[in-house]
Amino acid sequence: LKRDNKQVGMMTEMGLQGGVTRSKQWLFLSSQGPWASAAPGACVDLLLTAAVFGEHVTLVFIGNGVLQLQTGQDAGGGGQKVLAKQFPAFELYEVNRICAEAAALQQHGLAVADLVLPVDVLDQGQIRTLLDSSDVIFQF
Amino acid sequence: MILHTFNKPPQAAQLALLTVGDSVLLLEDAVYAALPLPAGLVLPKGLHCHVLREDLVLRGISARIRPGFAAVDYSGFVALCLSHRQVLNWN
Repeated sequence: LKRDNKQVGMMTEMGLQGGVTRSKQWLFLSSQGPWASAAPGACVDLLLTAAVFGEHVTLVFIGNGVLQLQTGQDAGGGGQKVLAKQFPAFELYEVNRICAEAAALQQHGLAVADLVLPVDVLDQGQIRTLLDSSDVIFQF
Repeated sequence: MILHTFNKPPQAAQLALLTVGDSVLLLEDAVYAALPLPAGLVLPKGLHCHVLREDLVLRGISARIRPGFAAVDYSGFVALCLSHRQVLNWN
């Protein structure tokens, strides 16, 4: 997985020094469909970078973001990349927790068993609890 | 308590994650949400609502925002960020 030097620079400016400082709780909200924009990819790049720096990272798919978890996405060799194929790397990079919004899964007709990776299903109240317990929150 | 900044008019699913005591700051095209209804947008009760003055002036709507919204300048923007432990930008 490639890492963007600019993003690493940004993380350093934000006070990340690997294991030197106490790790923070980072929460990423990914809210766009997989092909809607570059935002879902930027979200993955940044959260993997945070994970590499030893931060405690949680990813929550909300709204249309749950569509990123759809199995069978196929770029058909057209030069585009299926973001979901990077998701198995979350475990390797020690991303601590991956969740999806219950209402959004239901709205898009997605069953947990059909997703590209196992997720914790959360209602809005549980997502809010996560927001409150996080030090840094990004929404993509 | 979280400071939520919005660059576009807030969506219902986003507003569902706000709770009483949170602060909201409307930026860029989100400032239109502070107009009187039906042009504006109903926000959940119990929020501290702010609008960036520069973005109101750009759009010519400074005099049209409804009661309950406080116009702040960039210094006010910074002060809001500093007085909240968490800042969440919705875009």
